[in-house]
Amino acid sequence: MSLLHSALFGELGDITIIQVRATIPAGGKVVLSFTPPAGRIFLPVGLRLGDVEYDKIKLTAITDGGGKEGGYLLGAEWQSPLEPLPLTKAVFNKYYVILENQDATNDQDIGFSIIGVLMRKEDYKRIFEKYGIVPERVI
Amino acid sequence: MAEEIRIEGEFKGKVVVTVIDKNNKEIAKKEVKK
Repeated sequence: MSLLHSALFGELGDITIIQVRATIPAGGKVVLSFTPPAGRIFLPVGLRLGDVEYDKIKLTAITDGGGKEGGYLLGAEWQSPLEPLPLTKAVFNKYYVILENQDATNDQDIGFSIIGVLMRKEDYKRIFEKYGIVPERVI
Repeated sequence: MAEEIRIEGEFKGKVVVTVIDKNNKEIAKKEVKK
Protein backbone atom coordinates (compact mmCIF):
# COMPACT_ATOMS: atom_id res chain seq x y z
CA MET A 1 0.00 0.00 0.00
CA SER A 2 1.39 3.37 -0.91
CA LEU A 3 1.83 6.25 1.42
CA LEU A 4 -0.99 8.05 -0.34
CA HIS A 5 -3.35 5.11 0.03
CA SER A 6 -2.47 4.73 3.68
CA ALA A 7 -3.11 8.41 4.15
CA LEU A 8 -6.48 8.20 2.43
CA PHE A 9 -7.50 5.32 4.66
CA GLY A 10 -6.74 7.50 7.64
CA GLU A 11 -3.95 5.30 8.83
CA LEU A 12 -1.45 8.09 9.15
CA GLY A 13 -3.52 10.79 10.79
CA ASP A 14 -6.06 13.43 9.92
CA ILE A 15 -6.41 14.02 6.20
CA THR A 16 -6.42 17.58 4.96
CA ILE A 17 -7.00 18.59 1.37
CA ILE A 18 -6.03 22.11 0.42
CA GLN A 19 -7.48 23.36 -2.84
CA VAL A 20 -6.27 26.56 -4.38
CA ARG A 21 -7.37 28.52 -7.42
CA ALA A 22 -5.38 31.54 -8.44
CA THR A 23 -4.04 33.51 -11.33
CA ILE A 24 -0.31 33.62 -11.74
CA PRO A 25 0.75 36.91 -13.31
CA ALA A 26 2.93 36.80 -16.39
CA GLY A 27 6.42 36.00 -15.20
CA GLY A 28 5.23 35.92 -11.61
CA LYS A 29 4.46 33.22 -9.09
CA VAL A 30 1.99 31.92 -6.57
CA VAL A 31 3.26 30.70 -3.23
CA LEU A 32 1.24 28.41 -0.98
CA SER A 33 2.42 28.00 2.59
CA PHE A 34 1.01 25.76 5.24
CA THR A 35 1.80 26.03 8.93
CA PRO A 36 0.41 23.26 11.12
CA PRO A 37 -0.49 23.85 14.75
CA ALA A 38 2.07 23.30 17.48
CA GLY A 39 2.95 19.69 18.11
CA ARG A 40 1.86 18.55 14.67
CA ILE A 41 3.55 18.13 11.35
CA PHE A 42 1.88 18.34 7.99
CA LEU A 43 2.96 15.60 5.69
CA PRO A 44 2.04 16.21 2.06
CA VAL A 45 1.44 12.94 0.28
CA GLY A 46 0.07 14.00 -3.05
CA LEU A 47 -0.61 16.91 -5.33
CA ARG A 48 -2.91 17.38 -8.27
CA LEU A 49 -2.37 20.22 -10.67
CA GLY A 50 -5.42 21.04 -12.75
CA ASP A 51 -5.71 21.99 -16.38
CA VAL A 52 -2.70 24.12 -17.08
CA GLU A 53 -0.11 24.41 -19.77
CA TYR A 54 2.47 22.36 -17.95
CA ASP A 55 5.41 23.59 -19.94
CA LYS A 56 4.65 27.08 -18.74
CA ILE A 57 4.42 26.30 -15.04
CA LYS A 58 7.39 25.48 -12.87
CA LEU A 59 6.51 23.73 -9.65
CA THR A 60 8.84 23.59 -6.68
CA ALA A 61 8.57 23.02 -2.97
CA ILE A 62 10.83 24.22 -0.23
CA THR A 63 10.83 24.24 3.52
CA ASP A 64 11.46 27.21 5.69
CA GLY A 65 13.96 25.47 7.92
CA GLY A 66 15.38 23.34 5.16
CA GLY A 67 16.45 26.22 2.98
CA LYS A 68 17.97 25.00 -0.22
CA GLU A 69 17.45 21.40 0.74
CA GLY A 70 14.15 21.70 -1.00
CA GLY A 71 10.80 20.32 -0.05
CA TYR A 72 10.40 16.95 1.52
CA LEU A 73 7.41 15.29 -0.02
CA LEU A 74 7.37 11.77 1.21
CA GLY A 75 6.44 9.33 -1.49
CA ALA A 76 4.65 12.11 -3.24
CA GLU A 77 2.42 10.82 -5.99
CA TRP A 78 2.30 13.82 -8.22
CA GLN A 79 -0.56 13.48 -10.62
CA SER A 80 0.83 15.67 -13.30
CA PRO A 81 3.33 15.26 -16.08
CA LEU A 82 5.66 17.56 -14.25
CA GLU A 83 8.87 16.22 -12.88
CA PRO A 84 8.67 15.04 -9.29
CA LEU A 85 9.37 17.62 -6.69
CA PRO A 86 12.77 17.33 -5.09
CA LEU A 87 13.00 15.21 -2.00
CA THR A 88 15.17 16.09 0.92
CA LYS A 89 16.02 14.61 4.23
CA ALA A 90 14.15 17.02 6.44
CA VAL A 91 10.61 16.93 7.63
CA PHE A 92 9.29 20.36 8.03
CA ASN A 93 6.97 22.19 10.25
CA LYS A 94 6.18 24.71 7.57
CA TYR A 95 6.47 24.37 3.86
CA TYR A 96 5.94 26.24 0.66
CA VAL A 97 4.76 25.15 -2.73
CA ILE A 98 5.68 27.58 -5.46
CA LEU A 99 4.16 27.72 -8.91
CA GLU A 100 5.99 30.00 -11.28
CA ASN A 101 4.62 31.26 -14.55
CA GLN A 102 7.34 30.80 -17.13
CA ASP A 103 5.36 32.80 -19.65
CA ALA A 104 6.39 36.43 -19.34
CA THR A 105 3.52 37.76 -21.41
CA ASN A 106 0.38 35.88 -20.37
CA ASP A 107 -1.26 35.31 -17.01
CA GLN A 108 -2.06 31.69 -16.12
CA ASP A 109 -5.13 30.55 -14.25
CA ILE A 110 -4.30 27.55 -12.13
CA GLY A 111 -6.02 25.17 -9.79
CA PHE A 112 -4.25 22.67 -7.64
CA SER A 113 -4.84 20.61 -4.57
CA ILE A 114 -2.56 19.09 -2.01
CA ILE A 115 -3.45 16.07 0.05
CA GLY A 116 -1.68 15.96 3.35
CA VAL A 117 -1.84 14.36 6.72
CA LEU A 118 -1.69 16.14 10.02
CA MET A 119 0.07 13.95 12.48
CA ARG A 120 1.49 14.27 15.93
CA LYS A 121 5.21 14.73 16.02
CA GLU A 122 5.58 11.76 18.30
CA ASP A 123 3.95 9.55 15.68
CA TYR A 124 6.20 10.35 12.81
CA LYS A 125 8.95 7.91 13.72
CA ARG A 126 6.60 4.95 13.76
CA ILE A 127 5.12 5.95 10.43
CA PHE A 128 8.44 6.62 8.81
CA GLU A 129 9.83 3.34 10.00
CA LYS A 130 6.89 1.55 8.48
CA TYR A 131 7.64 3.09 5.11
CA GLY A 132 11.39 2.76 5.44
CA ILE A 133 11.94 6.48 5.48
CA VAL A 134 14.59 7.80 7.79
CA PRO A 135 14.45 11.54 8.19
CA GLU A 136 17.57 13.27 9.35
CA ARG A 137 15.66 15.72 11.42
CA VAL A 138 12.33 17.21 12.15
CA ILE A 139 12.21 20.96 12.10
CA MET B 1 -7.32 37.77 -10.08
CA ALA B 2 -9.40 36.09 -7.42
CA GLU B 3 -7.47 33.76 -5.15
CA GLU B 4 -9.49 31.03 -3.55
CA ILE B 5 -8.53 28.55 -0.86
CA ARG B 6 -10.73 25.62 0.06
CA ILE B 7 -9.93 23.26 2.85
CA GLU B 8 -11.44 19.84 3.32
CA GLY B 9 -11.01 17.57 6.26
CA GLU B 10 -9.50 18.05 9.61
CA PHE B 11 -7.90 21.41 9.20
CA LYS B 12 -5.73 22.88 11.88
CA GLY B 13 -3.15 25.44 11.09
CA LYS B 14 -2.66 28.29 8.69
CA VAL B 15 -2.72 28.32 4.91
CA VAL B 16 -1.52 31.35 3.00
CA VAL B 17 -1.56 31.94 -0.74
CA THR B 18 0.55 34.82 -1.99
CA VAL B 19 0.63 36.14 -5.54
CA ILE B 20 3.88 37.75 -6.64
CA ASP B 21 4.43 39.60 -9.90
CA LYS B 22 7.41 39.36 -12.20
CA ASN B 23 9.15 42.18 -10.31
CA ASN B 24 8.96 40.10 -7.12
CA LYS B 25 6.34 42.41 -5.67
CA GLU B 26 3.53 40.92 -3.62
CA ILE B 27 0.26 41.84 -5.26
CA ALA B 28 -2.26 39.68 -3.43
CA LYS B 29 -2.46 37.57 -0.32
CA LYS B 30 -5.14 35.32 1.06
CA GLU B 31 -5.01 33.55 4.40
CA VAL B 32 -7.09 30.87 6.05
CA LYS B 33 -6.43 30.25 9.70
CA LYS B 34 -8.02 28.10 12.34
